[in-house]
Amino acid sequence: MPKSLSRREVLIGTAAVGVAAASGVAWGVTADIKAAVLAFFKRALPGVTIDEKSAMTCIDDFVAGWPLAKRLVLSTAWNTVGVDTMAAVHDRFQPPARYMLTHFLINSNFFLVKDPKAQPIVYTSPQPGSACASPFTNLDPLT
Amino acid sequence: MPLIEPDAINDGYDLVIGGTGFGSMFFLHGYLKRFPGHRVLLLEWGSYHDHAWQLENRRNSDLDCEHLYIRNKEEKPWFFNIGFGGGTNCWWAQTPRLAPNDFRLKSKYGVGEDWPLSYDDLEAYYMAAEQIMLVAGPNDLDKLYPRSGAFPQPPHNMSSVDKVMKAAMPDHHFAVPTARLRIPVSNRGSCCNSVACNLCPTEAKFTALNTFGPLVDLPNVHVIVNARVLAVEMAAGKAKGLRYSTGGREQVVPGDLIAVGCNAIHTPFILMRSGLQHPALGKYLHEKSVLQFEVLLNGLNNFDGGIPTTGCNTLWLDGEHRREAGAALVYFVNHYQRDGLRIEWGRWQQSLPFEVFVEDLPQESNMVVDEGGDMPVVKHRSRSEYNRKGVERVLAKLPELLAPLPVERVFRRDDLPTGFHIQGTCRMGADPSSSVVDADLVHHDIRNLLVLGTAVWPSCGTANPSLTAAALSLRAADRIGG
Repeated sequence: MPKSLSRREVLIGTAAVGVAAASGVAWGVTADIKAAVLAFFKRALPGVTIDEKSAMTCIDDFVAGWPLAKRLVLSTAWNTVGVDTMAAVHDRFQPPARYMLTHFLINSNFFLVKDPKAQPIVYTSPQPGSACASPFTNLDPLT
Repeated sequence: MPLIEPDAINDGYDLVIGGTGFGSMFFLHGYLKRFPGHRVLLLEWGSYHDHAWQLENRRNSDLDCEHLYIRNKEEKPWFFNIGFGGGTNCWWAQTPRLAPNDFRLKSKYGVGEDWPLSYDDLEAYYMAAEQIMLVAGPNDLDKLYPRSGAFPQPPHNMSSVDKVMKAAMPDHHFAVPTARLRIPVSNRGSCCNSVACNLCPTEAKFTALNTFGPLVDLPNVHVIVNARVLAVEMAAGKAKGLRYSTGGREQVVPGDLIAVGCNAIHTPFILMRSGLQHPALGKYLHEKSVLQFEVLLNGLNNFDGGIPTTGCNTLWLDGEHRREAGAALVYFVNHYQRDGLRIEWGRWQQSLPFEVFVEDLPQESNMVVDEGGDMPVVKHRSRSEYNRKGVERVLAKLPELLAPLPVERVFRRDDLPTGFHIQGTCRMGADPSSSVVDADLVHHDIRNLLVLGTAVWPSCGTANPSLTAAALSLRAADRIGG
C-alpha cells in the first residue's frame, strides 16, 4: 500500500537525490549499501555463518521491487548511520530492515536446521507462486 | 464453459445478469435451482482468466480498476476486480456474518438505517452460502451470531496468541470463519497459509471458478466476456434487456428478468445511464476504515496458527456505544509479511500484527455520479463523525483488548486506504422514497430488475461483506416471482 512520506524522509530523500545526481552513481548496484545490509545481518545473527554470496542475492532480490525513491532514501540513511541505528531512530525505518532480515531468514535454511550456528546459512531465491513458506504454520488437523 | 460470441444470440433469455462476482454468481446458483431449464446469459466486462493464468501472471485481472473510475486523487481510493468471478478471485475469504443488531441500527441505537430484513430472515441463507463455500469456522460463534447448524468445516488452528486471548475472553475471541478449506474437498486443497490468498496456490479458497464451473457449463447458461454493461434497456416501466459494449460495438440482449451486479461503483452508474433516477441512487457510498497495529510481545510467540488471519475479536462489535461511535471488529494476523519478524535473536515470532475494522455511517454526500464521461466519478469527501468517534474509542480502549497479552510496545501502523469493500450506492429499504431496492433486491419501481451485491447495503456493519452478499442473492433467488 502507498505510504505518505514523513518530513524526515522527504528531507533525507531530497538529500539523497542530490548526492546521487552529483555522483552519478545508481545506488541499486553499489557495493557499499550491500555491505551495510550484510553487516546488519551479521549483527542481528551473532555466531551465525552467513553464506555471503547467497546473502548478496537476497539483498538484490529484495530491493529489486523497490522504487528508486525508496532506494535512495534508505540507502542514504543506512549508509550514513547504519541499518539498525536507523531502525531504532524512527519507527518508519524499522519495517524495511525487518523485512529484509525476514526475507533472508525465511528463504534460507535458518529455521530448518537444528542449530543455525552450527552450519552455514544459505539463502535460496523463492519461486513465484510457491506454496506455504512459513516454518511456523501449524496445519495439524488434530489440534 | 460455453463462452459465446454476441452474434450467436438470436433470441432473448429468461434471465440476463450483468457481472459475475459474489452477488451475481450466488443469484445464478439459487435461480437455477428453482428454474433449472431457464436460459441465462452472464455479461462480464473483463476476461475469463482461469486459475493457472492468474498464478502464472501473478494477478487476477488484466484490467487495473484505478483506470475504471474517476476520483479526486486527494480522496481515498477504491478497489474492485474486473474479470470472470469478480471479487471471488481476489478476496481473502474472511466470512463473518453481519451481527443481528447490524440489521437494526436505527431502531436499536437511533442512528443510521435499519435493513428491511432481519438477521433471522437471512440466517437460512447464511447457512446455505457457507455450505456452498465450505466455510471453516468455530461453532461457538453462535453466541453472537445465532446459527441453525454447524459450520461445514472445522475451524483452522489458532495461534498461541489467539489461545491466550480465547482463554481470557471466551465469549469474544474466536477462530476466524473463513472460506479457506481446512479439509480438502474435490478440486480444492486445504489452506497452507501461503499468505497469497488472492493467488491461492492450493485452491483452498472458494472462488466462482473452482465452485460454480458446473453451473456455467450447463447448455442453457451462456457467458459473454469482454462485454461491458452500459445500461438497462427500458420500455413501459419494465426492464427489457441489457445494453453492452464489446469489440467497439454496442449490442442489446433482451431478457425477461434483468439483474445488475457490477460492483457498487458501476452498478449505480449503469442505473443512472438507464434513466432510473432516484434521490438515493449513487449516494451513501461507504466502507469501513481499517486501522493497523503491531504489538511487540514479551515471551509469547505468534505466527503458529494455520491461516493468515487466525483470530477475530468481538469485544467492540456491539453495544450502547453505537449510539455515538462506530462498532469495531478486530482481526489477529498470523503472518509476518506485513511487519516482518522481530530482529532480536530468538524473539523472531514475538509480534502480533492486528487490524481493526471500524464502522462508518453512510453519508448522502459521499457518492457516485454521472458527469457525462465514460467512467463513473466517485466523490468521497470524508468519513462520518460517527466513524471518527469509533476510531477514537478503539484507540482509547486498546489496553482493555490487549490486557491478556504480555505487551512490550504497541505501534500504530499506517491505516489501509481501502478495505476493498464498496457499499451503499443502491441501498435497500422498506420505503421506496428513500431506498432503491426492497428486501428481495428488486427495484422498487421496476419489478423485473434486481440489484445484486454490496451496493444494496443501507448500513455499514463491521463484517467483510462477501458472505452477506452471497446470502442476500440466494434469498432473492428463492423469492423471485414467489
